[in-house]
Amino acid sequence: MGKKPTKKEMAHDNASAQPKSGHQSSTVLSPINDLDEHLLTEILKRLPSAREATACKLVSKNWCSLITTPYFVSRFVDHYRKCHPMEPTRYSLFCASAWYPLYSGSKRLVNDEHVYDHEPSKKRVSFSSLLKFLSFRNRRRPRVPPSRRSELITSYHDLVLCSRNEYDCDFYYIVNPSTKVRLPLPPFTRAKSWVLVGLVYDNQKQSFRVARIEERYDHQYRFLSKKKNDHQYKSYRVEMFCSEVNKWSKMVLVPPSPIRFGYGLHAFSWNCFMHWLSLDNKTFAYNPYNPSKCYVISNPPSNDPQIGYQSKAQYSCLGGCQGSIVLCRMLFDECAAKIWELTDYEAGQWILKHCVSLPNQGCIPADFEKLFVDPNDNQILYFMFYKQVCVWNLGKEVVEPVNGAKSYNVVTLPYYRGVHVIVDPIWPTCPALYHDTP
Amino acid sequence: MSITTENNEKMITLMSSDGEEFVVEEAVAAQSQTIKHLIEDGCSTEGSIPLPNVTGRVLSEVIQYCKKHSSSDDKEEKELEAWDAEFVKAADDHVALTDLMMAANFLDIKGLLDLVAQTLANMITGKSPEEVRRMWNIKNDFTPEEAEKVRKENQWAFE
Repeated sequence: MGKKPTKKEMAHDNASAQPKSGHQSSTVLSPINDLDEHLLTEILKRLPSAREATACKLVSKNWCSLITTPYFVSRFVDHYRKCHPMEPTRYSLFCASAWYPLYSGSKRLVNDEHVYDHEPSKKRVSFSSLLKFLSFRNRRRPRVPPSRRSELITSYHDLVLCSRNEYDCDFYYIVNPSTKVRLPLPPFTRAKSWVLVGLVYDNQKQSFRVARIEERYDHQYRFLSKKKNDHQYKSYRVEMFCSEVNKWSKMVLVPPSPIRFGYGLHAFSWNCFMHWLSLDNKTFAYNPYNPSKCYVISNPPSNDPQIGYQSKAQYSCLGGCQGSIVLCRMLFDECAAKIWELTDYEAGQWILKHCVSLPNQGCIPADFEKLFVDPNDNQILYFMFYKQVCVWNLGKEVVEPVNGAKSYNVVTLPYYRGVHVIVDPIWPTCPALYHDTP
Repeated sequence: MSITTENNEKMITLMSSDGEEFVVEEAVAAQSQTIKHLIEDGCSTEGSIPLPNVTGRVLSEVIQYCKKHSSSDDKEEKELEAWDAEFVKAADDHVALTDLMMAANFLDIKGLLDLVAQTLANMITGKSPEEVRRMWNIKNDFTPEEAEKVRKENQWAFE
């Protein structure tokens, strides 16, 4: 039988053999310093939050470079998900025209308190910096027309794209509310007209792209022609900002089939794809990392000829829920909501998931606006109703004002900007620009 | 050399880097994927299995862990958790824990690696970078300017 020293002996052995750190000599480095990347990752990925792990960057250069790698971040996120399998995506909804969070967190966040007990504060994101940034100019310049104010254009995961228009120059900013990082993009020298704007971030490449898409046509033609919505544009001008090269570049986009867009639409971005609803009842999906591949998907038919996202008869929005793209349509005439899920881009099939009538008929008036699907549950819709945020649980067939939500001072822009979801991330995205210094 | 006990359990001899020999049941040793593969490849039939990366002190601890975990399949999970907590407490400090972790990694014992890594992570949790450096005797190789830059770039984590 082998020799089996007791624990006490071992502890004693250890104490005599190895000087305790910090006591006898600071020149004897701990074996922690010898751990390879793999083992150090094993330790640091088990820290309770991204904040704790990021703070460890200051320990040493070795730790800093490890924690900065995408490899470490993905291991951290994987481990966090494994430890919190039931945790829903936490998010805030922003009403773009108001600069106030419509509703912070998800409803289940309140109920699942035990999931978060390791964190002193459940909310990781503070929106105060974003709000401050957005309202900074607006408050000082109350007479500035809305189109020239600082605006929240679109969001991607935990990043927000804001813009400010001055002297016919568009200034874009990428803002991360959770890290309070604000990144100005190089100015863009063209007044905006008829543009689709979107933002996506690629975690693998650690880069982001902003795309602005405009119709390529003679502007005068629109005023000469009475039937201005009659032509279906064949090609588009794309101006894309790539953070890898820190530059705007131009290209031409030819969608696989004709498509017609409304005014200044923000994208719903998801898995590196930007999506827009068109006026002719289609969904346009565009991946700026692979611009030659884009999809035009026919939406489920509607008997409303003037479809778009908003008309007198209906209100549509795109959303992402549990890994799928969903299309939600509120039908005013029927007092009903329908929700479809997209199978995939190639097939372009929409599968009807829910078709539910509003419990108390006739309560959808023209005042109804701004629709949003819960990212965790496609049976939950949020919408604005008489300046009050309401939640409609299709499964339970109840419509109620969001708990604790007060009537928000919603300033509606002359044109629709929609609702944005800003995710409360496990690990915040750190956008960076490539600085060309040869 | 493989010995068979009265329970008809096959015994394996493990040799540490400092020449200490440990005779353990095969089921205990096979908690380590590395040893399991060696046994499967027939390395255990002739003499002892040399483990050049593991000292006797660490190996005895590893064996304690493996014994507990191989014999407690049907035991209460809570009891095992309590035992694990005691086990890492007895390992005393981060030096012993780091050695244990390297051994767990070399021997490929996932449960032990998880346990030790979590214990080490818990030691860092709630500590400032300076405290972590002092606790583990890690050299601060940042110049003040570099440290300031890292702090500035990750300001949100230090608020």
